Amino acid sequence: MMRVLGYLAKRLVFVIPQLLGIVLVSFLLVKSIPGDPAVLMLGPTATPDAVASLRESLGLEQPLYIQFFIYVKNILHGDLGTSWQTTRPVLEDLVQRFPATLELVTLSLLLAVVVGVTLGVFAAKQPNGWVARLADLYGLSAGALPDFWFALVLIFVFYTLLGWAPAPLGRIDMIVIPPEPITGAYTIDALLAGDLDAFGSALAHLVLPVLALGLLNAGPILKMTQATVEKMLDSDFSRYEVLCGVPHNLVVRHALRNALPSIVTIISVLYGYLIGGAVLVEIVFSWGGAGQYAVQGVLNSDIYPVLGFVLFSAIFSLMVYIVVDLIYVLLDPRISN
Amino acid sequence: MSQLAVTSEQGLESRPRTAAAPLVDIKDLRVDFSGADEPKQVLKGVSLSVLPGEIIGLVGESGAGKTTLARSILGVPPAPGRIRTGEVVFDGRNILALPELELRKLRGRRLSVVVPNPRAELNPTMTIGRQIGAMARIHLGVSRAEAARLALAMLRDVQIPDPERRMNAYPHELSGGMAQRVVIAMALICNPAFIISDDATSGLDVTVQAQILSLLSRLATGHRSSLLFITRDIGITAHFCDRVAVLYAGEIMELAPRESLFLKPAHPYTLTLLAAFSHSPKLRDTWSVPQTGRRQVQVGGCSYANRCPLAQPTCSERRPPFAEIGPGHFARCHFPVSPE
Amino acid sequence: MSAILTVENLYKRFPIVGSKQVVQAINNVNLSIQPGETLGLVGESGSGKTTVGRCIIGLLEPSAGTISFNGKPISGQRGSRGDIKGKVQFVFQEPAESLDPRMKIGQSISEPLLPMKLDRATRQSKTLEAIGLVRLDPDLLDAYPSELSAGQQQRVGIARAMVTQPELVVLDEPTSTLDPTARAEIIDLLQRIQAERNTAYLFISHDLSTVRFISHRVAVMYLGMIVEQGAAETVFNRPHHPYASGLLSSVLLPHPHLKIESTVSLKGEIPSPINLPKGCFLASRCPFVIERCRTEMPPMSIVGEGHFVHCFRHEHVAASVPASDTFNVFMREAERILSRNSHDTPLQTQPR
Repeated sequence: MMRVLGYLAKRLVFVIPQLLGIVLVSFLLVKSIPGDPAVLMLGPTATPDAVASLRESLGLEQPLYIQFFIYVKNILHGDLGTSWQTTRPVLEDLVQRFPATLELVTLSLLLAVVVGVTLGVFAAKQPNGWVARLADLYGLSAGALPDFWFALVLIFVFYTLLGWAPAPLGRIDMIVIPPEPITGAYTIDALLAGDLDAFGSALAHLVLPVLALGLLNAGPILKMTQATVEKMLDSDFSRYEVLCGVPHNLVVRHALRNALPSIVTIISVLYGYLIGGAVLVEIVFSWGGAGQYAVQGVLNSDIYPVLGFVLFSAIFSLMVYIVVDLIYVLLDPRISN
Repeated sequence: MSQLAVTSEQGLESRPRTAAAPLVDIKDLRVDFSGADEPKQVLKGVSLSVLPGEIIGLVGESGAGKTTLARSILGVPPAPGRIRTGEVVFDGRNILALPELELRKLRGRRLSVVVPNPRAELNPTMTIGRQIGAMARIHLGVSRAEAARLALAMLRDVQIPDPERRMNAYPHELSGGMAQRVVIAMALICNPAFIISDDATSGLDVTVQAQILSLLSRLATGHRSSLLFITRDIGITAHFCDRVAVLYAGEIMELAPRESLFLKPAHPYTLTLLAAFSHSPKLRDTWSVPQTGRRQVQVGGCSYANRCPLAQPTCSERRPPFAEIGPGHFARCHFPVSPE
Repeated sequence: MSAILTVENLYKRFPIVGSKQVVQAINNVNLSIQPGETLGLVGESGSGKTTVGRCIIGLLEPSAGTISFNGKPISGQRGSRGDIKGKVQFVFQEPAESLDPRMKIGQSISEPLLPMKLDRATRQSKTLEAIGLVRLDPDLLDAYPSELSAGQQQRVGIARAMVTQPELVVLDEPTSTLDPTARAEIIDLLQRIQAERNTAYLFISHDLSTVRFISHRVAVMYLGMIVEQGAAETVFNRPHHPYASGLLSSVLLPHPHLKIESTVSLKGEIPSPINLPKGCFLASRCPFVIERCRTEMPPMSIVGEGHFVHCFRHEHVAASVPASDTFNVFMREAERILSRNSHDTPLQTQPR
């Protein structure tokens, strides 16, 4: 227990400088996007004077390092700037949108893990069986198919043709009132409020996007599981277990346990990636997620949403990696010394 | 004050010898390694009968096929090996012909292997107490608590210091000697009738090796098991084994009771081995043929022909039969060295 | 005759990363080697014998003490290794690992000649000479290590060491990974080279039979200390230190009736070199131990000509068994058995 806490403390100390570095790099990158935000905000009919005065008021004439310093100071006060598109503070926007993405991505990843790891283990158990062949095909298609195309197909089949799924217009039915935001995730909040109507509606709307993201992202997890478990089954200690007469299922289970670090790695990488990578699916389903928000910001040189999104994602990814490293320490007794 | 070393010879002299049916009868075992073009013959027809309660030594150099034999007897040849033909008769059945499920029940339970390099073979993420106990749980069906109790008793038997604490240790925390004892514990916890020790003492310090050897022979005697002791060091077999077999290039070249083999060796390869250990320059000149050029493999006839100082033309043409040249003493040689 | 190599008061400590503790690998080692002599250094794991070899060859710097070659210090601040280039050489334990698999044999052998600024023809002739010395075909110079057997690879390792015509060769377990037949060839080769070139050897090994026959003198190490040192025959026939006696009792000669007599059977494991006890290092395992052993380190006692031992009770140890030259007895027995049984037909020396 003590070694776990000690390790945690050591990692948390480094989080602040890491974040600072990430924000600095993003700031510089965003500032290098061509296009004058003042011109975009005022439209093509703006006069040069109006543009200049807007730039003045936005502080765009100041040297970059001062702009950065002001930005960081504001963050520490909870002010992430304002989006000129939504005219609302970025923090407010993100607090609403980030949980939407998180809810979608977490459930999708859960599905991906269940499907990927199960198929991967079965494929490794019987390398020449039909499951292995199916797994190969699956891995191939999952890598080749675009997620938004797959989402559109799902919508066509299950909404247009069969009418089983609700309309792809957001997270919840129009007529249902969203639950009181506590975590921001509709499903959890609805349950906490005891509102079963809202819960059912939110869940129904989640089915198709989760299927789209989850089934396709199961591909890399499957391949990684299959490859690593096969390698473990080939190792000296697995052979020794066979020599000792250990039943095959147990041998596979032990091999899986030793393969977990690699599988956990790829899951963590996917998690971080999907926060932004789910944007196309978000757009198809009008999800109102954080990825969409950031993309709009990039397209319109609206820098504060972009920077805000980067900050949120960075914090999230760093947390995920710390948790993953903790899991490693727990899984493998050889680390931590 | 002074402690008397318990020599194994005393133990061996008093061992019961039964002229009963063999416990394990290995018949003409052939194993190939699948290669790029032609499969390579690693075991070329090994036959050996092990009597109940007997310790048989098998001596061979590297590449002779020792590990292949040890594992093939249980039906698990090391990759990329495949058992081509042959039988291993145990308890009246050819276990190599059994379905995998049946064979699995025998492995570790009635026949077990003590492997070399134990730290590479133990599961790195499980404590050794759990690994030893797992054998008992799988094969004897006992509860987790009972398995832990048996594992602890086994650790005491193999004389691991501080056994209670070691139950929760991981393999990488153990020294080579201790890991070897753990593997012995795993091989013996189910009280198997037949134990194969595959080079289990190579790489250990000499004093630790001495302890492990006496431990193995004591446990084998105590449990009334037979032991197939495979090694590179012929010296060990002179003191621990009832009979000794010499393996070269996948074939048994000589098989004899201990005294016969060492005092009246018949196969030129055996004599070369003994000469090598004697450190006598005179003997080495007589009994070895130095290899000055690139490696050559003998094709056709006796596998040893190209290295044998007594080789005749016949030796490269016909494979010698495994003939009995004395009571219980066999040699695979056209011109075995005869005692005066 | 003055010694070719002298080691005085050698200490070597390795700090452990992340802690204040140190591994005390070598604790006050003193030895010397005469020209043309073989000193066998025996011990088990943790004895420090490999570390001594590496300090002598210059792969490690001693923590304290001096190493001198032909009277001149070669270690520490006062020492310089420039003058002894090529005069001290090393043979590694694993020939497969110490030979570059992508370099031809000829290149590997001539490698030590590179810093000596010789012209190509001289290098080639020296390489040819070296490969002839180890009795390998010259056309193997174009082969790669993977084409050779382990025994042949080790002969290449020896050729590489001999190519600079060294006066001292440090061999670290040169035969432990080899099969018995290959081992025998290497030992023969080393003895022949010594007879021809008067090379001195520091032969580090845990294989007592081999050390007995190749060494003139032997030093037995335990936990970084030399516990007994003397002529090989004398020490092996009648050891004065319990550890030396215990080591000998674990030797198993290939003869069912011959065993080295000893009253010492060492139980337990070798303690860790991190926290060495105050008195004698063997006290926890020694069957001859008395109270004094646990509190005081035994000083050096001179037992005979050039024969030293660190033990309070060395006389008891020596008296507990009669002197016997079991190794020699075995050799003569073997000669009797094996020559008596040789066949009548003329023996071939080389197959064709």
